[in-house]
Amino acid sequence: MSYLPIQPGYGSVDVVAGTVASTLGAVGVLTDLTAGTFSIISGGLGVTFDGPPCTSMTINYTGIYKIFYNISWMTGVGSDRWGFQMALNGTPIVGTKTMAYNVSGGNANRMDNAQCTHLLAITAGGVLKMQAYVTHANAVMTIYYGTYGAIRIG
Amino acid sequence: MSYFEPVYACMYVDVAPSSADTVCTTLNTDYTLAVNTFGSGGPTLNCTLSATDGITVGYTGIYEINMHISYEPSSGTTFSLKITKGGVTQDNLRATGFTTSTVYGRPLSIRGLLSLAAGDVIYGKVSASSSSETFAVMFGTFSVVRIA
Repeated sequence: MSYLPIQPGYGSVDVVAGTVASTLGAVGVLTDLTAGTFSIISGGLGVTFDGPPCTSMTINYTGIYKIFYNISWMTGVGSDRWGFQMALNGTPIVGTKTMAYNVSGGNANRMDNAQCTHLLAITAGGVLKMQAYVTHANAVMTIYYGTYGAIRIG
Repeated sequence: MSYFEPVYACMYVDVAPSSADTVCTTLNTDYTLAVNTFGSGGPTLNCTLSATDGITVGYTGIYEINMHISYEPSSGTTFSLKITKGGVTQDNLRATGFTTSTVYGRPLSIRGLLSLAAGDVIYGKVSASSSSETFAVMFGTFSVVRIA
């Protein structure tokens, strides 16, 4: 058994509460969630942010990361699939997608919580974003609170 | 600078919403997740991912287990997740989600700690709790990270 020296790298932010995606007019459009001005935790030189407020964080050390998020929301009217995912360098990270669904007929005010923890190899300079997505136009979703981040584990 | 024994593995499921690849249709029958693709970059070390579903750990220790699945029912009321070790359900690592015919699509998560011995094989499974129910797994992820 060998022990490898690991330079700590981690960061997390709070997600700003508010309505998102209300102006989306096309299927498949992604909205980058805005991170909060406060409650930013950074692992020294490990992770840097583009804010505050910010919509992304940059990973400064190559390695394996545990990436995560936890977001509470309420769906608005519409016939839409909603969800969240993380993106690396603009590309959605498969495995981080979660879903909220609001069936036709205007079943508004459905609240839930989405969590995800995923492992991913990230090269220094990689940019992580937290995104909301929708598969139908003209929909509204309200974010209440949440957080997302990354912790280097290997 | 800290010192860390990196032991971890991760797999994910990504199924098209219309896919019937991973549906639960039988009373209390467990369905092993079919993993479409392993994590990008192959983030695995001292763990072995089977070609389809399980994770075999290489070192004895305490592991953080995470499983997140989004599902959508065609009919039914209760959908569950669970972790098995050596074929035995781990009661501290189970989750049940409820839905109705008018509210579709939910995320469901398990997070917990599990003591594992070298060679143990763990699985993430999904199941329906009553007959004639159909749930489709939309997407999700299943991972282990050694913490002690």
